[in-house]
Amino acid sequence: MKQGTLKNWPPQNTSSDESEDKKSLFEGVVDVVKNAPSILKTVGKEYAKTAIGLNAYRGWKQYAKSRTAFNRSEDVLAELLESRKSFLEKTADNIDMSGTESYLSSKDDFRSKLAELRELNKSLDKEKYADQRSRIASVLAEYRSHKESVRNDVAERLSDEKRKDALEAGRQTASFGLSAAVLTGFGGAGTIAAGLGSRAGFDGLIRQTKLAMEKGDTGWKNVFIGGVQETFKAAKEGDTTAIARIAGYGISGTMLADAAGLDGAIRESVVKGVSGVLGGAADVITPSAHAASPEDFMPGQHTKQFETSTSGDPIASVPDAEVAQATKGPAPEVAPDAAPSARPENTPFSTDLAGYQDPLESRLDNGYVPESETPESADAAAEISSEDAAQIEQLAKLDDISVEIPKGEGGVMLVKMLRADLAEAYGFELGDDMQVPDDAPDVVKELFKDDLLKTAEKLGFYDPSGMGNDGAESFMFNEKATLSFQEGQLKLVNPDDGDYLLTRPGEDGEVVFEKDDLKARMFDYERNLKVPDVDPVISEGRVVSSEGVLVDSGLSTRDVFEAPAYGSSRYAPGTYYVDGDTGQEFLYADKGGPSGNLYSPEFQSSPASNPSPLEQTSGNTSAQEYIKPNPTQSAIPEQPQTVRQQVIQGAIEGSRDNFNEGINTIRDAGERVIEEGKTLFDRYDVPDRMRGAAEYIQNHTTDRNFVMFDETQLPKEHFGNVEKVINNQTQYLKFTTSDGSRIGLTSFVDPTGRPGFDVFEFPSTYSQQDIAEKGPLKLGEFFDSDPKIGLYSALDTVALRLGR
Amino acid sequence: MDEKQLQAYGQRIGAALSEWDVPEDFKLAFLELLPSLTIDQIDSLRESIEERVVEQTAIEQTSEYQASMVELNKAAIKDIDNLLADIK
Repeated sequence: MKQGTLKNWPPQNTSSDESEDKKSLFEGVVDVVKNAPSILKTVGKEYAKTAIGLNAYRGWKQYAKSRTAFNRSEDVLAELLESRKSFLEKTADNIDMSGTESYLSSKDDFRSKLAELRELNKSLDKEKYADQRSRIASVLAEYRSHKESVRNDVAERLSDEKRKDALEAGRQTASFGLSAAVLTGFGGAGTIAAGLGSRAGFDGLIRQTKLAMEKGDTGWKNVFIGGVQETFKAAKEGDTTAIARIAGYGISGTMLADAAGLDGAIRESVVKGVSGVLGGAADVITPSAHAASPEDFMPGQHTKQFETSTSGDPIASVPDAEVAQATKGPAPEVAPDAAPSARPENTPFSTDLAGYQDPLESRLDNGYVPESETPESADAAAEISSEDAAQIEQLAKLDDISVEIPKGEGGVMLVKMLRADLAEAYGFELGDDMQVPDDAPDVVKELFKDDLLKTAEKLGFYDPSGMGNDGAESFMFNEKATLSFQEGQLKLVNPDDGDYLLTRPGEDGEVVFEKDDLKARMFDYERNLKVPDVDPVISEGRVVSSEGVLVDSGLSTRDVFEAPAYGSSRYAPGTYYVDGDTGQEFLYADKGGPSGNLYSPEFQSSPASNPSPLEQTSGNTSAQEYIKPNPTQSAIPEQPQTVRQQVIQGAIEGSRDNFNEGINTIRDAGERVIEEGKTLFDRYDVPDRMRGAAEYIQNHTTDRNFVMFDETQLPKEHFGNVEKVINNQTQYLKFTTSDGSRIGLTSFVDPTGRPGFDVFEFPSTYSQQDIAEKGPLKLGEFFDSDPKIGLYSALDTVALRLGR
Repeated sequence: MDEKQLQAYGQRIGAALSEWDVPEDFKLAFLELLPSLTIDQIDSLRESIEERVVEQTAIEQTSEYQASMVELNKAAIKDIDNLLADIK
């Protein structure tokens, strides 16, 4: 084997170097992605601060629209992640994570070294260092050949059963990224998800997801970020002069068709198409040289192609060599013992326990002396039973538990992290069949007594009837806070607001949760707003742009919106949603299957019976109708500049563009919301009036469903004339002016019996008949799960109308 | 097909290409090839590539492949180190 090839393959016993930390090429963009949820939360907070107590309905709707768009993507992504997580959990036992870690680590090492080699290659003059460049290319080409051999070898050795499992896993992994890539409602989300499935793909996703799972799912956002980084890196690396490179590399249509496993008519088309491209490319590259024929670029002609390449890309010679090697014939055989069927014993896996110290030993090494072992208590210690000693040891494990609250995570996630750490400490597996050891401390048993949500609720971290999208709320925490144990009881350590014991021993020794004492102080009251559930008015005819501007009375220039996540079943494709306040109309169209997924199974299984969205929207028209001749590349028949530009742009840069657009849209919407809130705040003399109303109500209300005050005593300066109406369907307060005109109605129980604080307002447009027929116009519970707050907001609205 | 749909479709093709472990030139060739194909042909090719990606992903997650690649990467790194030292 000549110098410069993989002379160290078959492998020797070596140790891999540590890979260098990767630096993102798009750190700024990644930061935006990372902060996208917090941007929304900040928007929500600012808006709540500014608009609370106002008749904020219109401004609210602006926020709600942007929030809906965000939620939609967030929900879809969450669903994808949950699906993925579920799959991983089911198959976790079959994944050799230590081997995967080692594999990924070595992959990183190789990439790092490859980058170093490419840098060197860049610095070498093509002519002067032709030999050195050739050797570099040769090493890389041989690497790829060996890699292919390993892959083929493994594929041949897979048993049918294992192959079936592996294919299913591969399909799950691949389809996750592929389907996620087409999320267009929120470009950033699509990009992120695409990143997961593409560059991070199997390796990053499996690795980071599994690790995140082991840590209690705290790493999901990092998985996102990693996916984005990789995606953008790939996009940047692919930003080359494609035609020149292709011509130089001598790609043949045959090779491409072989690689894709094509046959029949499509194979012929590919071969013909590539040949045409290459011929045209040669014309472009060497306009003064011979008119290259497609045959010039077929296998075996690569030397000539190298000579014709004028790409000027110093990296180009690297893939040149890969392809050149691949065109020379069969890949080099891998020695039978070169591709071990099982992990070698000397592979440095992360299961290495070097450096690990048992927590108890650690405590002893650090000078900890159990009370029972002090001289004074020696006699007593001798009397301690082995059972007691075991309990002490079990209790001591709690001291090593400390959960840092990740920024932006909710209470449920926190409890999940805590339970994961506890399970690890006490040596049992999480899951439906988990068995907490009998000798575990009572507090541990209590934390696993119920399911995750119930436990979070008991701790005050979660409200099943809160403000979240699904009607529940996982509370946010101070990011500086940690969860740990103090004398065997769970505590929250909050640098800004003191420590709180979350559990305490009860009189009978049971574990008592202390959530009521904590809740009022530790949770974020200004969390996101709930999107109002507004019934749409359906009409036909007019169409608006995405900005809500009427653009046409026909369908030719329409902007198409996906059916919204909220109440999507009511927005049938092809119908219009008309904003009752602004008059803006929106056309909803199904972008794919029922879920809106362009690549839902409906479109995958039977193209004939389920035409693709492309066909649907183009009337079963082939792309040829979109194709216009490209005068610059006459060698390529029917060069469709428009399609070409759009598809390639979508493939390479669409994700990035959509992502930026999505982020900007959210940011702009948020700023508009804040600005509108400020305007409303300035417009009305809110504080005094609001304070008067709120204080009064605060002093006269008790709980969610009952209002103690006598409506006749409500101060008229705040509420006008108030009448309490109670019948067998509902109960509400009716507010009227001195001349009897109705200002509004505030209900406390809606007609379905569900407790709530729905406001029946706008009497001129929404009559009792409307309410009976269409249901209440709901403003929702404004800014907090505390029902009183919702009530205050509703009454404030009425008070403000009186004050106009 | 409007621009957004076209871009969405392109994104999926891009995702499939991104995962396909073949030289970049193959991928670039594919992109260059697109304009000369019909949508049906593009979709067929895309489907073939995605199937390859699934197979490829399936194999790559086996311990056998990973263990072999660990050793191959080690060997390649060592050779590259030697090459770097020699050329520099």
